[in-house]
Amino acid sequence: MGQDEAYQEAVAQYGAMLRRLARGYEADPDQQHDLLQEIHVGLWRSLGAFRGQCSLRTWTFRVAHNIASSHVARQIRSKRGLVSLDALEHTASADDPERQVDERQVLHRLAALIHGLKSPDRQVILLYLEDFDAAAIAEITGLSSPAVATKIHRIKAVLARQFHEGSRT
Amino acid sequence: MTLPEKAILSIWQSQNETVAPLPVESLRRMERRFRKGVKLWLALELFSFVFVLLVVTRAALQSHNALFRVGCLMIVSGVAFALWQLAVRAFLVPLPADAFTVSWLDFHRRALERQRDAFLSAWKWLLLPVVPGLLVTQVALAQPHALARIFALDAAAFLFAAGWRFALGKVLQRRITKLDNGPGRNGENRE
Repeated sequence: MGQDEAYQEAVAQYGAMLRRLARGYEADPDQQHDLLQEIHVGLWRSLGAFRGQCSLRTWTFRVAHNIASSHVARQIRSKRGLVSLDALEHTASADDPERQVDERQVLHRLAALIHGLKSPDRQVILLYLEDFDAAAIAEITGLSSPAVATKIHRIKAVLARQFHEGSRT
Repeated sequence: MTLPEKAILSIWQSQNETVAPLPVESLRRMERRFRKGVKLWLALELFSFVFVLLVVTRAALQSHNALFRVGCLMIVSGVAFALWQLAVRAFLVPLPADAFTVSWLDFHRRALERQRDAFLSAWKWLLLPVVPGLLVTQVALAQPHALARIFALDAAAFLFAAGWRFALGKVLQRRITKLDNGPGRNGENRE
């Protein structure tokens, strides 16, 4: 498969995921657009060296996460106030009893949660939300499978706290 | 009531706008746009060099001291060398196409290594090239009895600037060590 064909296939299969990934890294819509373009260019360029060393999915998400984390590292402002999953797990729930859990609000709060996370917690949660299993997340991030499993356990706990509704709603 | 985990995943994945592959020509154009950004940075470097060249040349032309003029020439050469090194290290050697294809941890480690190496070696390629010219101009201008004090100040300034970069390099090395020894490191992916 040539570079252009591999790129077409990667975007056909994972294009929507890449867009969600850009949303997970960048809150500003203009910056999201720029980041997505940067990912497309980087992915296309990298696929010139693709010889089936790993699956196209692993390759695509390695490239996308590495480009996106470089993008975040350049935005010095966004480094402020980032926290780990561990810290989030031990903070009180930001639950508001009056809150309505509709999809838009869930997405808004999910995005806010992801944008506040340090690497590699941000990578793990984004891959987890895409239904990647621990082994696939380990392959993309370079973390060990047990470490990924621990992080997923924390992610589940954090999500349960963040999206737990008060009995009054 | 807790929103079920599967529901959260489903809501996240419901952001399912179709993304069409970009035309190859657009990709090439965007890649060229990135290179233009690099050229702009290099143009700024060139502008800095021209500024140093003009200031030092003017000082050299106004002086009748041959040693001072030699020192000025050495300063210009030193600044040119330092800026060239900066450009080579920062931009002129592009990342290989597969640089982004390693795992996030390896990618992050390599980025830290590049920054660390740049900081640890900065005294050689950024600071040292300017020193000989600076010393020669000082020898040419200063009173002989004041030279020892001036050289001591030079040495202190050099050591401070180099030491600062060295300390930053050591901070990065600690981060690399922490990354390597972290509980989550997948040994199989280590390169």
